[in-house]
Amino acid sequence: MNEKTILLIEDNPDDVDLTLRAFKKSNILNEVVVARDGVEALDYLLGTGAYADRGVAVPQVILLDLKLPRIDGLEVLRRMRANQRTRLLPVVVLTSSREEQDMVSSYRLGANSYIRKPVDFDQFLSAVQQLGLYWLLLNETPPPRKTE
Amino acid sequence: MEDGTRPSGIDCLGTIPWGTHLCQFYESKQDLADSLVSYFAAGLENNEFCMWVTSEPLAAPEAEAAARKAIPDFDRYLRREQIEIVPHTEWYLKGGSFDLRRVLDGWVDRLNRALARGYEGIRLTGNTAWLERRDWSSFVDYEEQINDVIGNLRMIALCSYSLARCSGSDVLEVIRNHRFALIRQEGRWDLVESSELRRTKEALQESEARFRRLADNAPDIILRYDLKPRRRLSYVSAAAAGILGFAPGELYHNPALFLETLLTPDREALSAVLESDSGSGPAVLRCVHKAGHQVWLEVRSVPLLDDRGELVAVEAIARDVTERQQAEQGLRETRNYLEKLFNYANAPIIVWDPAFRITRFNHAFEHLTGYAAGEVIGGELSILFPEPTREESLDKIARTLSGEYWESVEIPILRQDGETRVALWNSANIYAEDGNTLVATIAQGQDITERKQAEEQLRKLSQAVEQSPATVVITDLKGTIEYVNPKFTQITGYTPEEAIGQNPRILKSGEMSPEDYEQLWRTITAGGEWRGEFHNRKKNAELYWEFASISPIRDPEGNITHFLAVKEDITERKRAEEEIRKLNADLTRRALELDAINGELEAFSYSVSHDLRAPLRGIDGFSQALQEEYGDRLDEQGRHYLERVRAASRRMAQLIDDMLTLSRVTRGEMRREEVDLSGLARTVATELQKTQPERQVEFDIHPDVVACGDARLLGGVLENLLGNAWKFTCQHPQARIEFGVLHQEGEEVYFVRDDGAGFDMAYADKLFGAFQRLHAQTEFPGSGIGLATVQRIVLRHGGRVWAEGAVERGATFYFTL
Repeated sequence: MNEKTILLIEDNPDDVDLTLRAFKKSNILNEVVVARDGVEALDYLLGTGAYADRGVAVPQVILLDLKLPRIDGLEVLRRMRANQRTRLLPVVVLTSSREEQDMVSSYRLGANSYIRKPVDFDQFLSAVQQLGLYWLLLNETPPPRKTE
Repeated sequence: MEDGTRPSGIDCLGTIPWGTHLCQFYESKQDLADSLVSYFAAGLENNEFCMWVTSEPLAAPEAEAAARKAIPDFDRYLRREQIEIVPHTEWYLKGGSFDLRRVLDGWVDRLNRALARGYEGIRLTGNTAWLERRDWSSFVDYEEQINDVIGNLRMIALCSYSLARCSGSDVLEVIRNHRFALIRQEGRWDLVESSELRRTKEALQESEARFRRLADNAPDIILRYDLKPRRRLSYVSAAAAGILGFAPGELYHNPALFLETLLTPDREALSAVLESDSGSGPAVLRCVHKAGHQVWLEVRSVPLLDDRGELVAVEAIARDVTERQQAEQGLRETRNYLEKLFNYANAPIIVWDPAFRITRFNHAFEHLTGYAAGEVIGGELSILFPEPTREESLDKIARTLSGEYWESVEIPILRQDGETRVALWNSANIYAEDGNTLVATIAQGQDITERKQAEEQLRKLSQAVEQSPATVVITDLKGTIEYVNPKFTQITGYTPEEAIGQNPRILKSGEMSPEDYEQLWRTITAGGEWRGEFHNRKKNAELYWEFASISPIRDPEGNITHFLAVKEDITERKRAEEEIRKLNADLTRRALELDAINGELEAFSYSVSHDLRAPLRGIDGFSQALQEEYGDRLDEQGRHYLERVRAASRRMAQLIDDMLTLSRVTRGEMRREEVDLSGLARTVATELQKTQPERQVEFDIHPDVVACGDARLLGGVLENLLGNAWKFTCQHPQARIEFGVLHQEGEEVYFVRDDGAGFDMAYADKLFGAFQRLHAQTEFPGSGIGLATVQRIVLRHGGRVWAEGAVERGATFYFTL
């Protein structure tokens, strides 16, 4: 497993494809794990459910959509921040919403960044490139925690 | 001994008065001894001083022995010197011969000494056996003179003559000089009275009896008071018994009693009257009747002098003037009482004479007018009346002179300090005894200034109550209605006649709980005010609401005497309140509906924001992928179409964003604060210039423009208006944009002015509609949402927005907040 995994939590297959395309076009070759809803995302992160036999995952960065089936993005964020093992993982909220309340709630729950997905793919591409550059290359992730 | 008589000790003689000069003729020595011993025994027994001048045939030792033998306790009398026995040689012939003057003075001297020692008088005897013939005539003279002396004194004298030694003519001469002559012969007495003596005596007795009768029948007390030889009441007439309650006998018996009947201060006055040697005019003295009540005596006195001019007694007439005195005293008391009543009466009282001069002026009048009585007495009555009505007042008073009584006439009174008071007058004329001559007029004025003011006040207050738009009910302490005002009747339908005497329970609808009534009573009987609402029943059974304030009415001492209820018909208000309550409920329901709608709208907006953009992103993203990866397989036309697809999707994304912006403006909290519009405008201008630094645009932003509103929303207004101005001046090489404030009709009018493309005023009403545009997209890009947003923000602040402009002549946008 690539040591710098990206966890993309996104239910829209179009967005998933476009995001992956944007990564590819930006030469971001890290492994991208896609979770299609909140439950799956949490199972992946905490090693529960379908990921019970695999142990705890520590992605380099998590791209989190807010509008998700089953457990929405803010709830995922809240549970992550409530859990010792995922508390410090960098989370970039990547969403269509520009609602103030979504931004405020995200930051209040401990999002590290909030990016609105532009409709214009060129702008989207530019955003993904900068995101990858920053979070995968420049940013130092917190040291991995010992299992408690 | 009431009338001053003394027992003589001689059987045939009985009692004799003081001043009795008698003689006895004796035959034997034994006769002489018997008669004298008996004579002295009576004297000693009756507290008289006795003097026995002895001579032959009975010498002093023999006389003493005879007396001791016959008189019990004789030695006791002797020891205390009540009796003196002296030989004639030591009395008549003291000094060798008989000296008439010396002997007479000797008797008086002995008498005075005896009285001083407390004896009633003196009883004496002398024997003439020693008398020589040659001395006879001078002794007869002596006897004659002794008559005069003894007659006025408390003295009894017995002269003894020896029958054997007197010739017949001697006897006659002796008898003539004595009141009584006694002859003692052979152990018995004979009483001889000379005819002359008897006649005189009878005449005297008759005269005395006559005067005594007159005196005793007189209504006044007639009395004689002796001062010498000692003070005593020697006569008092029978009237004393009626006037003083003491019979003459009681007064004689107790010599001090007469004085004691007098009151202490008058006792001295009486003494002065009685001891006056010039007599006195009437003196009025107070005595105490034996029964204890007071008696007034008017006493006149006449002094009685002896030949030496010395006052020896006083005769007086005392008249009972008690009734007169009481009448006078009553009169004095009445006068005094009236005087005090006049002076200290609460009512001002004035008296004036027929010439209208003030003669009396009491304290209350002084108080009323401020004048002192001394200042106005003798002065004109008219000074008391104020000028404008003086004549009228005097005229009214003149009518009293014609005999009219005027009662309760109001006359204004001018006080000394110039203030006018209103007095209510009563007056009465006072006539002389003839009943015709007017002597004075007396008037009583009552100051009713305050009362009139109070009446006026009361009149106003009672009218206020009568005309009050509120119901007024007054009850007694039991709650029985005593008064209701017309409004009560108007509202309840009960007339005062129906309501008075009833309890306010007649209005009870039964909707109020007994506990509430109890609480009401507890409050007002404890002196508090109760406020609350009643749902009451009218006479016609209609229910109505009233708001009541019930409170106690107190008297000046603070005791609750009545209860006052002031009630307002609030049926209409209740109805209105009910209406409002319904409206409120309606509003609440609508607000809830609106909330729900808003919620839906919000969800919708959110959904639009989120979900509508995702497909657009797909359209654009995959169009771009198609363009990039399959572009070489498409001809020019195909690539152009793809470009058009992407442009359309981006424009739709822009529209969605603008719609969301517009909807956000109307949602969310508004925080009003003071906002520096000049500062905001400068920031927006700077941002705009950065976007197109090459443009020549002059910004004229007036300083210190402030407004009260939500800073974020007002920032949005300025962004839109300045942004528009920037946009619509872009085709001019040079432009000017102004922001400022005008003060119009007390209102702040903010404006943004440019000299750009302007607009046709015919379309001014379309400017602020959402998605309304006056220019082609190609000419000036835009969504048509900016001015709609401005209008919404301004409306949310309660202001107005409008615009003026002309094509190619610029535009000005105004707004108020």
